[in-house]
Amino acid sequence: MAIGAGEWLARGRQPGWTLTVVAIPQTEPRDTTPLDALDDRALVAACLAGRLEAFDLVVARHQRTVYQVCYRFVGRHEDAADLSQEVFLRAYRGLKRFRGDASLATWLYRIGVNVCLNKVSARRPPLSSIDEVPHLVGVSSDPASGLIREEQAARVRAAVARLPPRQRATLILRVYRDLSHQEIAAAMGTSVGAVKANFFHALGNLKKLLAVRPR
Amino acid sequence: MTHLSPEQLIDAAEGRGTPTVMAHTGTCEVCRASVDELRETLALAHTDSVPEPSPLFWDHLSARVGAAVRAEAGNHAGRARWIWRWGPVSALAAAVLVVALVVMPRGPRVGAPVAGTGSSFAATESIATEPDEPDTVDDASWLLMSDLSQELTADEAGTALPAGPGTADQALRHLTDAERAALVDIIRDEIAHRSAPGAEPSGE
Repeated sequence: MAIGAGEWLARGRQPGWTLTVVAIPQTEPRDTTPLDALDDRALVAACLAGRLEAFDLVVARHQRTVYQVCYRFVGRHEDAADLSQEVFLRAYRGLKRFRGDASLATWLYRIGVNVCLNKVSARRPPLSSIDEVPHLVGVSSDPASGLIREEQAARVRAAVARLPPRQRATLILRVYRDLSHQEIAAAMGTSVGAVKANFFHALGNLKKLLAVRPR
Repeated sequence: MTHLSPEQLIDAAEGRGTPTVMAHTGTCEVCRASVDELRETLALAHTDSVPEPSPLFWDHLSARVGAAVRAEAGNHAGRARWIWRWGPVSALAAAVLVVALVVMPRGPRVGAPVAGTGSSFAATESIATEPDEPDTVDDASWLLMSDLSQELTADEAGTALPAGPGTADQALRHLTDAERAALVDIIRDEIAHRSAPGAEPSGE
């Protein structure tokens, strides 16, 4: 009679019993569904099943928004690229913890906010003064209005980058990523009331910062 | 008059206020001004857009992340291989350590200080001066292994656990964590049983 090792251990030693170790090769059928056809949750499942290329597709789908969140936080392209990589690496490490009760994008924002908050708490990035923002020329049919618009955008960006970190995170997720107050609360590990209060103070501070006119 | 709280002002600015809140903003100049200011600032904030990086950047970022993830996966696999390879050995070593820790304080050895007269110095001295001779009769772990193996004939032992490099390693490799923990418990129980006063000879 053959029994498993666990049962052998559970029954204890019996006279005349022998323990024979048999290696049973485990082969699992490999899912060959085209990855492009999978939604985010299925991609996560495929990745957890060993299809590493599924994570490449997760990155391809979400790298732009993750980069934008990071860029708004640190205001520098190089830092935003480094932080984006860190966000995806942490996401990969914690993929098993993605429960699917929120969208993958929201989950990635949550990681992104934590990575960015850690980054800015560890080292405050150099910020340009609102009065010294570079004049960026955008693509526009009307060069003059395009110039004004870009200058205004740069001033807002510089002001956002000067907000206290948690106010900044709240404003970025609410205004630029359109997350609900509940989603932001979950992402930042706080209450909806605290999110609304943070948002209120963020807008108040932003107004003060933008009220400083260039000389 | 009580003005709206920051939360209520945010709800009102986003058009999500309760009927009571919205009615208040219709009658309270201060709160209405606050809501208007919030809306203006929100509209200003919306004028910003992140500068679009070079089109080549996205491929570059994907490649960077892919390389980092694969390096991570490689490290993880390496760690897993290490655990599979050395984990059972570590478990065995831990079990042996447990045996040693349980057995060592028991059973006075030859040359141990006499009760009441001994001191740590005397013990150290006597151990240092005695030859380092294995005392298998007093060794509970040896007795345990001897007892376990005496129920097997030579043929059975050869069939059950063919001798060869890595046999124990292979045997333990197929145990789950729970089974491995159960094995350690069995060994501990055996040792505890043998170490209990009057249960089995422990060399005293």
